[in-house]
Amino acid sequence: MAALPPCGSEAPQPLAMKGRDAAMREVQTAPLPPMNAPRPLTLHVNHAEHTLCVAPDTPLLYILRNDLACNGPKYGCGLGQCGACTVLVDGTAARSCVLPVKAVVGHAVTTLEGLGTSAQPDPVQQAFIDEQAAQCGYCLNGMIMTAKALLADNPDPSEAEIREALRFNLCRCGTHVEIVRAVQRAAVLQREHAQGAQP
Amino acid sequence: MTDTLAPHMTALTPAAVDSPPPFPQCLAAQVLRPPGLRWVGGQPLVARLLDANRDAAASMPGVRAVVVRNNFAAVVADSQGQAVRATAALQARWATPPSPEASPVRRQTLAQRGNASTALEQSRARQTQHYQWPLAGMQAATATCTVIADWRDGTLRVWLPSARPGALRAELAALLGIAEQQITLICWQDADDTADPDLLAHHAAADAALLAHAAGGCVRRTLTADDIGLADATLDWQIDSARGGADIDAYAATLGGTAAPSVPLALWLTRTAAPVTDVAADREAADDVLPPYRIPNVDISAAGADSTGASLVNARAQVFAQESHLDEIAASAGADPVALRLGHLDDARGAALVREVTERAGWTPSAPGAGAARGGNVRRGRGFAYAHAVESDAAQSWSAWVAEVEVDGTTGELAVTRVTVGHDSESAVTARATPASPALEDMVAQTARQLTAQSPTFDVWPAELPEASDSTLPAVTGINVPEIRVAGTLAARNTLSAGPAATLPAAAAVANAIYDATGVRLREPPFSADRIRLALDAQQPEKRRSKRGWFAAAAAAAAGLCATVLPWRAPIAPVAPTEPGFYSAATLERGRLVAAAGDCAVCHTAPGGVKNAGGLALETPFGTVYSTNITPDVGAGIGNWSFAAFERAMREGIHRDGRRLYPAFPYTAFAKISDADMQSLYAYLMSSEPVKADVPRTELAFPFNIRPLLAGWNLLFHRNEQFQPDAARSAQWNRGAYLAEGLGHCSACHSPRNALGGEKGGRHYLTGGTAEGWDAPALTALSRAPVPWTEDALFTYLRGGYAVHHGAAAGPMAPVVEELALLPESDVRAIAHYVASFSAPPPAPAEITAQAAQYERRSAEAATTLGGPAARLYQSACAVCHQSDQGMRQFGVKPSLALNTNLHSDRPDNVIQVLLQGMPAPPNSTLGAMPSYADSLDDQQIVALTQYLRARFAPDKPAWQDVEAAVARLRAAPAH
Repeated sequence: MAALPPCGSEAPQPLAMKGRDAAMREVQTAPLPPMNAPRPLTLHVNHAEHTLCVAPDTPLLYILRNDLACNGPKYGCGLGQCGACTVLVDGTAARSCVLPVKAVVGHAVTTLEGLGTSAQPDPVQQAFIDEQAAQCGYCLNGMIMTAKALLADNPDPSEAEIREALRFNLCRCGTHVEIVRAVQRAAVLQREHAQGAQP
Repeated sequence: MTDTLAPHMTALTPAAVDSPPPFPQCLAAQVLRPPGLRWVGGQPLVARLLDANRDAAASMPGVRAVVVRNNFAAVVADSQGQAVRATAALQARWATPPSPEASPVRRQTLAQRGNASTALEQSRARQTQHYQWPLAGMQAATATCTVIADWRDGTLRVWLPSARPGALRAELAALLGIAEQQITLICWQDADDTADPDLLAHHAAADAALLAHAAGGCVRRTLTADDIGLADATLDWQIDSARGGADIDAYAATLGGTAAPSVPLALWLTRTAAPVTDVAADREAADDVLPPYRIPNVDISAAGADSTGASLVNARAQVFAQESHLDEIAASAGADPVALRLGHLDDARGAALVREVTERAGWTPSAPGAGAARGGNVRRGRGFAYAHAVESDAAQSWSAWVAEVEVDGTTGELAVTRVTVGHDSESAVTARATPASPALEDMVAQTARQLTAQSPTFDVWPAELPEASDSTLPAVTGINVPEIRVAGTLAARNTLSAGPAATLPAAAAVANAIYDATGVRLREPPFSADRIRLALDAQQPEKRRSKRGWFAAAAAAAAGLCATVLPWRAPIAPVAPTEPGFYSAATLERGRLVAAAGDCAVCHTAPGGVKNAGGLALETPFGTVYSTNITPDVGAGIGNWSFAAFERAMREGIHRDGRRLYPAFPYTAFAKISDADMQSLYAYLMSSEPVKADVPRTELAFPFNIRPLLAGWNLLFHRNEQFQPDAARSAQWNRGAYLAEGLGHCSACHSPRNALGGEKGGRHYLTGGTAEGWDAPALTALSRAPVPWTEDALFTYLRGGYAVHHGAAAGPMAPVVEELALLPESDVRAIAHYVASFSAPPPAPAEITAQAAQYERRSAEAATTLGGPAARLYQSACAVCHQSDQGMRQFGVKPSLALNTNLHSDRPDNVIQVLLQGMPAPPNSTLGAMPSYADSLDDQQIVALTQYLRARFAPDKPAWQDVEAAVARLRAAPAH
């Protein structure tokens, strides 16, 4: 098997730099890489751009945690079942452990780190702190990110709607009651926050 | 022929006087269908009900009554969902269903005249044909029949869609142990019903009556042919005849298959003795199965079918067989079909009707089978059929049809352009309106549509009005409302709505007209475009030649086997690799597109390997074939191949060194590539980067390792011909055909292969095959897709790898879609256009949406009855991404499983493959991805989950057999 083309230093020049025919030739005769060989991908994570040399089929979660040091999303089941790895892609919840990183090229990824800081937490984070919704806390990334997606769709959800939205986020400690209360509080805080921001 | 046993007919209350209580006031009924239920010889094979937990069901919410009587188990509840849940709570245990061998096949003579068997033996001009009739029509699993029964103050009122209750009143009285006087039958039909009431109404009525009586109220029972084990039942008439000149000497007909049962299933299940049928009526019925013609020797018998079940359904099948066969006799005797019948018709009133109808239709005797052409490839024909039905003691009726059709010889599309119909009736009873009371014109138009369209409503006679179905039948089929002329000694239009007896000759008249137009004889309705086209294809002289060629080639191959001296082809001398920059950019760009359309990289790239460097293991029934390195490396690839060598490999399947290549490489399809495309493909491959990578040798077991034998294979299955456009088709169709038949080699996976690995063509073309351990579904009308594919859906799927009513491209189809994404949009649309031309034109978008919604509803209902570990497995592993009605919206799609073709197909392979392998890299990554469960679920769990998915999302389909073996086999096979 041929050696993998090295990544990074020999990344192709932008095509616009050359004449059109030359560019065409360049594309035609360039070595054909293995289907999943590492190649430079540009990701938008938490409002910043990162160009990384990665295998396109790698799960997004690995890139976030290992390459970008975003440790908010957790590795839970690795099968998209528990929701601990949830991030937002263009504001929609996504299970980053089963999503190939190439799928989010050109989309905006938001992790827990992108919501707020310790000094200035997001209203949803603040609500979870206020309600002391964590026991072991492993599921909380997923609960918070999913709640964030829910409140973007539905700023004033009923308790039933909250339970429905979070039904596929698993919590093994059993702080479900506190979590539901936290999301209810988050809805209130977020509305207040929005009103406060308006004038 | 009798179509009723109706001693109490006059007691029917007219529908307008008394309509049933509205649905919300009726209780819902759920009756358990015994496992393995089917009918043999007019009797159901019923498994014994061993045990049912009546108390558990009775304690469920909403339950009003639980009835367990012998093998009949049912629940009445406030809502259908409650009834379904309660029947599940019954936890019925059944004995093994009795096997059909247990009951010996009875052969019974129904009617006899002269000595048919002797006359047949002595005759020289003798012919035998089989005619088939699908008992429940095309939508046997979904078409419903509804009956409402109300038990109040010691009287039972039953609303049912039948004007011919026959022995039903006596049967209900026996079933409930009440007097017949306590029962009132009312003719009424529910608007949603689409099934043939003649087949189902009395079964539904018996269920409804039994349950209304038990619950002491109003009960609604809706059932399908599947619920009573008749979904797949087919009537079969075998007819032998002998003639001398144009005189028919002998006629012997044998009824086989499954006849419409005459006694309701509930009586069998409860083991209620059916009331004794009137012997006199039986004898009369026997006389009436005789054909209405003067034939000296006649023998009508039944083998393995219920001889007494003389319903209108059975009558239609018999008229179809008899009148088709008479047409065949006329054709072989060179006689005019009408003249032949008149020559054998003693009945003056019938003969008068036949003359009147044929005169009105402008029928003139002409050479049969002439099929006058009219522009293009459209052929015209006309057909005649006649029926005489004795409906009860006093009533008999005569019907005659002349149907005129146009058949498109290319597409097989059929249009019934004009129907001349005459109906004469002696019935004194005028108030015999059928529930829908359609005017004759409507009924005739509808009948013509049902016979011609690949419509899901085939054989649904008095169902929806033509206006309603207009929107669902696309104009392109040419099935416009035929011009209808009415002839006959008819008193008034009202008598015409006398009932479906008027349409008895319909199927035979249309079949005879198709024969007149095309020379093709269809012996089983419906006469869909697909069937006609396939029959036309089989009939074409060119195809016949190729069949003879096949035998000649087979002989040649056999000779080759004996002598084993088939020569190796000469090698073509190696050449120096092409200089870089030799080809123009335009040529290279064209070559890139050709390579993409040809999916070269799909097979010539190993998982994780370099593109086109080969090494992918292709599993074939003959052993593993490894794809080769097609990069221009001199040692490992094709760097020293001249264009001549490359072209010979592509078109003839011969390696540069003279070795024959296995047809896993689809040179059978690539032979169709045009010269210009072949040259640019060569240019493109030769200009790519050489990769020095050797691939494993392909070593098949004896005798497949003897490559020269492939010369014989090629003689049999390969024609080295470039693509020829079809002038009768559009440019877009031809473009699609070129891409799909040649470069795209769709049929390599999507057509079945014969025992020698040759693709089956003709009527098997694109009817489904296998690829690398995956099922490649049928792309024709044989598709198992629950919702029909449209051209737009095909385009969306091929372009983006996902169609909302069908699902995502998985397995080997995923890289194909990835390659197609490189093609211009117009080319992908052309492929979609071409592939769509193999299916019946799809219904309107609204209809498709409605169908999809119905599948979703049915699976949601099925979900309420399923439970256990597999249900929890589904809920934890699958639901988050597949239940669009649960949880949060997720990035990507939530593909509906209720609409997934794989769950509706005959084999579980693709479902198991997707569970094991997941879809780690779907062609369009924004769809999301599916993880592999090979390492997290064990075989037992995969089996349980597979079976659960089938039961939940394809509840109308039978459970898959031997899923364990399939899981073990697919887990052992290397992943693609």
